[in-house]
Amino acid sequence: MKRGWILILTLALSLTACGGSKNSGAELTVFAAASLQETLTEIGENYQREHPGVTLVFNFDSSGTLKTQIEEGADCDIFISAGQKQMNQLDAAAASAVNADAPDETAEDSLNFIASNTRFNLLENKVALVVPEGNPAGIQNFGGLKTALEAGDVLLAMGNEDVPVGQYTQKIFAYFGLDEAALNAAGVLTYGSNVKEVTTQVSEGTVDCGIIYGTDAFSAGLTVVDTATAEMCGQVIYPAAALKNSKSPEEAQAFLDYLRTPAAGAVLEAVGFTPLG
Amino acid sequence: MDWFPLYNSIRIAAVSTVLVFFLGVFAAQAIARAPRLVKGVLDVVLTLPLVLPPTVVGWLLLLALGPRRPLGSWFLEAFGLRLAMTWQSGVFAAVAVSFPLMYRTARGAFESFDQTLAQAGRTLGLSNFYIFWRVQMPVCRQGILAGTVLAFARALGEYGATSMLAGYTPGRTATVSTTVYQLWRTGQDALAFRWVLVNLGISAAVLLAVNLLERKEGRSWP
Amino acid sequence: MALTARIQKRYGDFLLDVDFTAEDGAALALLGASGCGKSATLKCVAGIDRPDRGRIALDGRVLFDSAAGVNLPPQQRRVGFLFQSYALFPHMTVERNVAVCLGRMDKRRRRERTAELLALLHLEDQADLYPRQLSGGQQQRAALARILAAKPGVLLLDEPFSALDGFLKWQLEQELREVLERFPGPAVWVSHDRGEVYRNCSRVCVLEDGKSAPAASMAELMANPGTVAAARLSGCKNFAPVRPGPAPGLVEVPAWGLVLRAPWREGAAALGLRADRVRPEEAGAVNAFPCQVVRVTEDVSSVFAALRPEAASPGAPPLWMELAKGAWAALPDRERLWAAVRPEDLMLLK
Repeated sequence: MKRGWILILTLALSLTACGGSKNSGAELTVFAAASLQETLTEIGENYQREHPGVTLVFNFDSSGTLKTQIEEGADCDIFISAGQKQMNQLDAAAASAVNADAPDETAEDSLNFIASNTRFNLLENKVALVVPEGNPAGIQNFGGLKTALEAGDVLLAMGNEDVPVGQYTQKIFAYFGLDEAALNAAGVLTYGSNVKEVTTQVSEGTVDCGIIYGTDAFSAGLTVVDTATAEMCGQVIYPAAALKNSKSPEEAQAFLDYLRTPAAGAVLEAVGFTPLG
Repeated sequence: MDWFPLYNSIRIAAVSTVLVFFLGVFAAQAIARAPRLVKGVLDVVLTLPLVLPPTVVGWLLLLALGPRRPLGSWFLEAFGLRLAMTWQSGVFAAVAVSFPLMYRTARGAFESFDQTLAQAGRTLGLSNFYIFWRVQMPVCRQGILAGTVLAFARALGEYGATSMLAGYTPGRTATVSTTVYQLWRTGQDALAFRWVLVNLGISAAVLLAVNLLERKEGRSWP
Repeated sequence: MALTARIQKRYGDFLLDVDFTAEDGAALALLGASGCGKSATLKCVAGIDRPDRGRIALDGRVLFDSAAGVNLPPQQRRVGFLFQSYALFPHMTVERNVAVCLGRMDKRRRRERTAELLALLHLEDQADLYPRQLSGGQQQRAALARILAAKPGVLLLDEPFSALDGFLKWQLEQELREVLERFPGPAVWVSHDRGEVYRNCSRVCVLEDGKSAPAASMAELMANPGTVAAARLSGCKNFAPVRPGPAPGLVEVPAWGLVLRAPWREGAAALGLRADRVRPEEAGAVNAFPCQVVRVTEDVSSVFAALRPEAASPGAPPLWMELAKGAWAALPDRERLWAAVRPEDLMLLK
């Protein structure tokens, strides 16, 4: 019995030792918005094949959660957000010049995590209006959605204001003169905890329509009936940057540079992103 | 403060606990007498919701109850009832995640029940129904009560499956848990915390009530 | 009317094969060592277990018949089963326990009947207590009262005193005997204690390894056990293989090196000798033989001497002799003596 325990302990310890040992080379931790999971994983695999000395570790989640994690001291080399707001909140140098649409949050909130000189706009996404197969509520476009919402005829699934796509949805409401509080009172809105929830609810038809990113719609195979213009909600820009206290700043910069190459761009375009310079 | 989430959470948890109580107790009794292989397989299947992430449980429920799926569409056609995105959907979600707790606890209680009591009851002419409700259940009271409390607590705190199946529509399907999450996510920490305290308050009240119940010596089952 | 039972059931390697009848107003003992199938038999009679084959009938009603496909649930058998653990419902008072089968009566009648039964079993003062607050004897009486409330057709007693000892046991035996005397139907009393069985049962059925021997009266069992198992159960301590002697009317016991006068019995394989029938004798008396006293064990009122016949082979079991203390003390030589057994006390067993 005693021998057995010693054996188990030895095995456990050697396993943890295994996990720690690494050949010389950098490990980059990349925090990225959930909507980038598919594309970034593929890009990461390509990159690692070309640069065998580098290991990429990804953490995909909603931009708000990632921002909080970074604030709380998580070890991270690169942050790619689905909106300027979250990046601004970590960038001491955030000013209206750097970001196209500075939302309510001011630079007062920001803390000094981002290496501002590495920050750039990586790509553009579109906000899409999706419906279940067969479009049971007959929503044709955002204008039609406005009408239906005011009539109290539909159930719309959206993200809450903590996620970028939720903020964009709020902008669209404002553009169409819709009062979110009034819509809530009428019971025509349901807020998902994350994009996956919203896409599932739309594809199962438990809601009549949803507002998500074009890339999410593509990945989930949902029917897009309309895409928001820059007028409605501004441009959906995903910024990327390296973290100030990254342990491998050169490798981080190298990867950021790689993201701007045509090879990476092709992967991004394939799901509907628009790569920016 | 809009008190709808509290009202909704309590009614969902109450309905769900009543359902789970009977389902759990019946399942425990039926499976305790099943042959070993069947028992093993069913144990795994019925405990699954405990092991799966609640969101996945919600998704699986959606695959059964969604309006495009067999059960959901049938209900829609036959009764005009939507099974998703309603407060009742919250009951489905709560039942799914709290059932394993009731079931396993009841099973444990029943397995340690002295079968000679049931045998004696039968030789005395008592019906199996009487023996189950008036002998076995009271004797196993501690375990059954523990399972019920666990199920209620789990139902009250249920979030992931509820969010997927019932959505978060303020005033219609919002529960304390989904409200806390949404409030926290949109930066309304103070309000969110107030709801957390409400949740704690309810749980404390329930546990207190249960402790008082347990203290009463020799109370026979109603 | 009576209880007739013919039961066959396989439990893994063990085969239960019993056949007995218990008459009205009499107690039949099922006597056997632990694990020989006594409780299993009762469970089959009560309907708690199901025999593979057989027939059980009570008062002319068929409770179980494998050939005819009859198998009544326990609720319909009217069998009063006294479990070893008494099986009182722990969450009910004594009064509730007793009243639990009287559900069909109206409230007043139920209260009266319960009071009657409690008085009969001397439990009036314990009516509001819970089983855990009762002594072992009180629990047994409560269990009996509950059984009688259900008006059984037969009483099955599963080792009623296995958990008790001494004076309490003596007292409870008296009480149980009283209850049995008033009980009109048959009773089956399972035990491994021959004294208990001797005192309380009129007939006994020996169970060995799941197989039942035909029932006999206790006196017959003592006088003529027939088999080694029965003899052992009846208290005999001395056994050795036996074969016919050199001449008719003689038997030979090789292990002890003895040739004794006794009538042969067909099929006999062993000789049984009751310790109290081995007597010190003069040399030359009938069946007398010289022995060495190997060990002496003092019991409460007698002395057990382990004897070794001088002609015994090495490794042979000792021959036990039981003598009253006075008689032992009076022996002239307590290390080497002549012992003898009367021919009629020699039991030839299968």
